[in-house]
Amino acid sequence: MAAPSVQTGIIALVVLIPWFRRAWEQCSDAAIVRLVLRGQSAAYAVLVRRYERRIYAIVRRMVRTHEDADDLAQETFVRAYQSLGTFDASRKFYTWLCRIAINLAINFTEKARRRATESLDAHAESAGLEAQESVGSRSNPSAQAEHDELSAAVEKALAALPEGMREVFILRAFDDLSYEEIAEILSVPRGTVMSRLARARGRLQTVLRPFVRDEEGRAPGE
Amino acid sequence: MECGECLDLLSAYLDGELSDAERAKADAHLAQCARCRRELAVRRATHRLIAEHAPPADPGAAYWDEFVRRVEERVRELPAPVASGAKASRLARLFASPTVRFAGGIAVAAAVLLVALRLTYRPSGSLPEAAAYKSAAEPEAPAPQKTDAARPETLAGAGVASMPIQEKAASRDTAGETLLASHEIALAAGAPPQRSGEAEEAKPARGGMAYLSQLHAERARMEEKRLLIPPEEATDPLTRSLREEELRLRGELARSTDTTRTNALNRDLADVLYRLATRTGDWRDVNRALLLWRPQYDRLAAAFGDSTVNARLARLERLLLERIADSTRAPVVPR
Repeated sequence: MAAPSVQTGIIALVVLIPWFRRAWEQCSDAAIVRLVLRGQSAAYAVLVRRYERRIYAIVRRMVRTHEDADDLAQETFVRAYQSLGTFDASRKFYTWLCRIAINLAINFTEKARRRATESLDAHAESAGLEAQESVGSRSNPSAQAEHDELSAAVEKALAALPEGMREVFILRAFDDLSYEEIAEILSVPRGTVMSRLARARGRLQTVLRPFVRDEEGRAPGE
Repeated sequence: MECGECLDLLSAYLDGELSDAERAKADAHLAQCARCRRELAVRRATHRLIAEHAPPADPGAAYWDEFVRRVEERVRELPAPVASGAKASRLARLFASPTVRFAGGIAVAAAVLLVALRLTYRPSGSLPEAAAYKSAAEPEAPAPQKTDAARPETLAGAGVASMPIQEKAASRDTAGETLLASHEIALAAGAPPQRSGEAEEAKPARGGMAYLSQLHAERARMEEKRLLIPPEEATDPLTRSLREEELRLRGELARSTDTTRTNALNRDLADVLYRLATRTGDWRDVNRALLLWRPQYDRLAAAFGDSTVNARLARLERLLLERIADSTRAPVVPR
């Protein structure tokens, strides 16, 4: 009698677990949070899958390496799990999660800056200058080399943005969040988001102007 | 719209975050201003450049499978989140720590020790409430100082202790005339009067908490009995009704088990005692009022306000000083 019972149990598990997972994937964020708080910890993986790419993309633009971004993204989900009891179900889960990620990334970059030598600080501060100087060095470059160079210039330009402007720009440019959502994540007024974004764009434009080409491949003003 | 205003709005214009009216204004300006159109084109191109050359944000499918697994692994090691709010979950995590548990144990032990010391400490065997006035009768034993800074200067100070009435007060053995002889209060009805040195022997032995609590409660009851003036002794109707009210409140207090009700009764009793004391000026009334008002300072201040409590305490203490001064002028009653 025991063997059929075990078999039935295993079959039930094999059938039920994917069924539960599929059912969870249909649930809203708030419903999954409630499930996790009621002890269904496995449901948390649904939230991780749902937002891992967006969170990684944000922190990746705030730190220099994939490894750091990976650590921060993981830490974001772990911290969110630990604080899930404090989550206000009337708010969006993603904005709450995003705030955790942004705070972690800011703390990380702050610590990295403190640890960094003067040369590293100078490196970040002179990103614009370097970008301009590198214009002359890319005479006759291959497409890949040009792309790498541009990527490095963009990365440096983003890193050189002051704190406050950088996260606003990243949330808008790479996560396509509305001004209201950004304001909620960063706990600042919408007008502050607007002005920070305008100033961030102004700085990036100044730094990246040598690389900017219009749709026909011409430099502005040509 | 001027160019400057238009340039300020270009960022929000690109994001589609302008109101309809702002957007219409910007469109109208851009249609006629080549400089602003160029600036808009540069901004679009910069935006495109950043979007195309920003650090890659997708490390590949294999990475994402691994990512979920690693997060799950880390989460599995954590205590399950609790929905009872930030404080509860943080507290739960805090108290889960062995260090905090150990420190908590030490703190609890220290608190128990402090409470035990507080309960067993009795200056010269007198009751805690009477101790403040003890110096008036027994100058050789220093009275405990109340440390509450919010309270007015009390009789426990040196000013009263130095008053030359103690011998006279101690020499009177009639209960109605003895001024706050703490050894009498402490040893209560029927016990022979003792000197302060003998009063030390009346201190309860340091034993169990229940024993001490019982002993103190018994002493408090005996003291009330000792000081209570029967209503029939009152000559005027208002004083009589106040005394009856006092007795009624004390009876209700003895039966009350609800904390809120007890607090309310204590407030009423304090008020009645104050009115009695100020009306009769009898030292026993003043003393009983002070014995309730001083230890209950915080609760009464919450009910009546600090200034009222301070003013009433000051008046009661002034009354008591006057009675003490009167007693120094009165002839000593021979035994």
